[in-house]
Amino acid sequence: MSFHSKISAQSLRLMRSLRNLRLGICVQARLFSRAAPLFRPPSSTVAGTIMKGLSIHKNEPDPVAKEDNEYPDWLWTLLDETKPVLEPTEIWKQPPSVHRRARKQSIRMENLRRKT
Amino acid sequence: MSSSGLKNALVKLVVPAGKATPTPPIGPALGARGVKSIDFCKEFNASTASFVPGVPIPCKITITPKRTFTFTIHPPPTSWLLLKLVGKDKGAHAPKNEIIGSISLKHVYEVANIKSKDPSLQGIPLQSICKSVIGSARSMGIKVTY
Repeated sequence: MSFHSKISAQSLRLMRSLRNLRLGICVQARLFSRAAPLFRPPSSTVAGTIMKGLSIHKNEPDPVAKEDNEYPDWLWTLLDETKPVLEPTEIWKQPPSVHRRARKQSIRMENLRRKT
Repeated sequence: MSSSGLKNALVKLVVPAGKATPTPPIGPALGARGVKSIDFCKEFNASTASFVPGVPIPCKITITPKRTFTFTIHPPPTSWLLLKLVGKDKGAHAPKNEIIGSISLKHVYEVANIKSKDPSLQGIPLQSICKSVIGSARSMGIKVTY
C-alpha cells in the first residue's frame, strides 16, 4: 500500500471497512453454497389437506391440496434465491446498487466503532 | 365537478359481496357523480349472489357523462385471502421481524388461481401471479415455505 500514500485517512478507513464487508460477504457466499439450493424438501402441505377459508363462492368446497407432482414444476422454484451468489471479486464489479445498502451499513458501523 | 363532462369517471370501491347498500361507502361516492346508489346496489348484489356473503369484492365502476354506469368485479384482495388462510385479522406490525403465520407453496398456488380470474390480470402467467402473492405474504409477516 506504499504507493497509495496520497490517499486520505478517511479513504483508508473506507477501504478498510469495505474490506471487512467483502470478508463478510465471502462468509455469506460460502454459507449459501453450503445450503445447496437445489435440494427441495417435500411440501409441508400433505396431499389431501383442506385449505380452509379459501372458498369464496357459495356451494364450493375449500380447495384440497394435491400431490406434489401434480403441481407445475416452476412452483417449487419460487422460493429459490433470486439474486445469484457472487464471488467476492465479482461483487465489486457489479453496479453500486447491488452492494449499496450493505456498504452503507458497514460504513455506519465503522463510524460508530470509531466514535466509541 | 361538472356532471356534463366529456370523460367517463372511474370509481373504485371495495364492497362486501351481496351486502351493498350503506350510505357511507357507496352513497356519496356514486351520488356525487349522479348515479343512484340503489340501482348499483341491486345490480351488484345480483352479480355477487354466487359469492359467500361478506367477502370483500373490489369493483371498478365506470360512469359515463350521461350518468349510466357499468362495473367490473375483481377477486378479493390478496391480503384478505392470506389472512383468512392463516386465521388472523390483521397483518404483522413489523413484517420482517414478526411472523403471524406460515403458508406453503400449494396455498400460494391456490390463492394465485383465485387472483388469476381478475379481468385486469388477463394474460399474466400464473407464475408471475404466484410471485406477487409471495411478495404480499412477506410484506404481511406470513412465512412462505415448501
